[in-house]
Amino acid sequence: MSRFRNTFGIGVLLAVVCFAGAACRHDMQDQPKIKPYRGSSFFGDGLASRPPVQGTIARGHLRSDTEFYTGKKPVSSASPAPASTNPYTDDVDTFPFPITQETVVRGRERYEIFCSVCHGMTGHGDGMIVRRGFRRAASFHDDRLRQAPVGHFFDAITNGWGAMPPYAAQVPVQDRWAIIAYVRALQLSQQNIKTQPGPSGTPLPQGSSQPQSQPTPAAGGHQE
Amino acid sequence: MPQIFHHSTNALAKITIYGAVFIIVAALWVAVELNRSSWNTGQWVERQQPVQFSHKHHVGDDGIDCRYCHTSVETAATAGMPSTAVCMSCHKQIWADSPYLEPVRASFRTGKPLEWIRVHDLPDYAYFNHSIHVQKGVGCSTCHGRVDEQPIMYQAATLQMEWCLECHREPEKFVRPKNRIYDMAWRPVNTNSEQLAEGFRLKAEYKIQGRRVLESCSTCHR
Ligand code: HEC
Ligand code: HEC
Ligand code: HEC
Ligand code: HEC
Ligand code: HEC
Ligand code: HEC
Repeated sequence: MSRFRNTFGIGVLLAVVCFAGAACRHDMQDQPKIKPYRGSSFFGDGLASRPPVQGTIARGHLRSDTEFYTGKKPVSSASPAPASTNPYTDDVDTFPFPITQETVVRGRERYEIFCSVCHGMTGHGDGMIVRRGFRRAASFHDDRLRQAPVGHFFDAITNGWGAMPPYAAQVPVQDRWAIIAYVRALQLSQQNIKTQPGPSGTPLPQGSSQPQSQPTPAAGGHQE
Repeated sequence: MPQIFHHSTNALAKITIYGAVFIIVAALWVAVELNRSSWNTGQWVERQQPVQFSHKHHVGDDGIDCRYCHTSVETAATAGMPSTAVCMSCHKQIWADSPYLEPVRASFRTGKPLEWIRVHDLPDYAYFNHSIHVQKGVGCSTCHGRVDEQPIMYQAATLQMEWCLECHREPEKFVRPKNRIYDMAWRPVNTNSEQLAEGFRLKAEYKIQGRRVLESCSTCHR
């Protein structure tokens, strides 16, 4: 009989443990700690993380390399060229670091994520969002933009340009330069077919930067 | 004293004793199935959001890359949620007066972030990291399903421990080439050993660690 009572006791104990476990579960599941994107009732605005105090510079993040971080010439060396001939006097015209094959490959990837939606795969300004009613994005194959210094492109990505939104929050500085390197490659690749009629872009064969002699009539290079 | 139970009830008693075993097993089976069911895991449940955001429109129809909005997916534990400014980069101009976008505009005016309802939510005692999976050849669709065909987001996997382990034990069945990570249509082909060879090749190329690391409790419970 006592054997039965023991078994019964263990059974009850197991059941209690199981139910207690079920009750605890949610405390462990939703611990009172702060994780990314989780709100908090501690601060008035409901956000868990505090914005850094204005002007805070993290260790190692002093942006002293003006050309790299702003695409502008340091104030002292800006040439006082007459504004009428060159509207981009303070923009740098060389890349702040050597461009390698990897930079261009990275730039292509980032271009296709962030820019192609509006500027199109080939940079003619006819991306999907433009076709859905966004203001026509600039074509990189205009003479003005062919001649514009790289710093101007950096400025457009960082601060936006006219109807174009800024991308500083989404694209890190190094990637912005990589994108510009790829845009330069696009410009070169389209140079001798720019006289072709038609507003839509001439798709390049994937992975090629060679100019294409036979433009296909289909618009864009999107996978639809 | 007259007998309370007739002789024939002996058989009944025996049946109940042996039957109990089956009843207990059946109950356990029901419990396990319930535990794996979407009632418990939230799998396939569509969540209504403050804004009727559709991945089908944005990814499927417009071809926007995941990383345009989920910018930190390659570099951080969390995939990152788009800020209101990201939505407004397009919606300042297109569908600018759609009533469906009013919460987005209100958030942009007031600076108060949109509060999305979480669809995937691991318990806090489990640790997950997107960047390692993306860097080592596990694509979004392996875990999140055909996002480009989801007008409303749902959880495509159970997200239970056995699901994680199924892959951690045999990653070669799931890994894909680096340039297909964001390809929603990619499907693993791992039915015969020849096709698995490709998985083993990728596993070696990505230097995916062995079971000792990937099955260790402290990898995910840290
Ligand atoms: C949401 C759509 C959109 C996206 C995405 C976009 N742009 Fe633009 N971009 C525009 C529009 C529209 C213009 C024309 C602006 C105007 O003239 O008001 C423009 C103009 C430009 C110009 C020309 C500035 C000038 O001098 O006329 C450059 C350079 C440029 N974009 C680069 C980029 C790069 C690089 C990216 C990727 C990081 C990018 N854009 C992404 C919409 C976009
Ligand atoms: C235009 C911006 C945008 C793009 C592009 C985008 N997403 Fe999202 N994503 C969102 C927003 C906003 C939410 C929150 C609303 C929701 O859950 O539907 C979200 C939610 C999610 C969630 C669920 C998050 C949770 O709460 O658990 C997953 C998973 C996801 N996205 C995956 C993807 C994948 C994979 C891609 C690329 C194929 C992608 N997204 C592209 C904006 C975007
Ligand atoms: C190995 C499986 C796996 C892969 C691959 C994966 N995810 Fe996730 N994703 C998860 C899990 C698990 C969660 C829930 C995380 C949590 O609750 O902490 C999640 C959550 C999310 C969220 C919600 C925000 C967050 O980080 O918690 C978004 C957005 C998301 N994933 C997008 C993506 C995108 C885009 C990709 C492809 C680049 C991707 N995921 C690849 C498993 C995966
Ligand atoms: C790159 C441009 C782009 C971005 C960024 C973007 N959208 Fe959209 N959105 C579109 C386009 C284009 C449509 C039209 C979709 C279609 O019909 O194909 C649309 C449609 C919508 C609609 C439906 C509007 C209606 O009246 O039917 C909603 C809601 C919406 N988006 C919400 C969002 C939210 C929330 C975000 C931020 C997470 C966002 N969008 C970011 C381009 C964008
Ligand atoms: C489809 C396959 C797959 C699924 C599903 C999956 N993982 Fe992984 N996971 C991997 C691969 C591959 C790695 C890379 C291992 C390495 O570091 O070499 C990894 C690595 C990790 C790591 C980092 C390990 C380290 O190196 O320290 C963590 C943490 C992790 N996974 C957690 C999870 C969790 C939690 C889940 C379930 C929610 C999950 N994973 C689901 C394939 C997967
Ligand atoms: C690949 C990642 C991973 C590894 C390795 C792992 N776990 Fe888990 N574990 C999880 C996740 C994810 C959950 C949450 C499951 C859920 O939400 O139901 C979990 C849940 C649990 C739970 C809660 C019970 C449950 O299933 O809900 C226990 C207990 C547990 N794990 C123990 C362990 C032990 C012991 C080990 C080592 C032998 C281990 N885990 C290894 C990912 C992992």
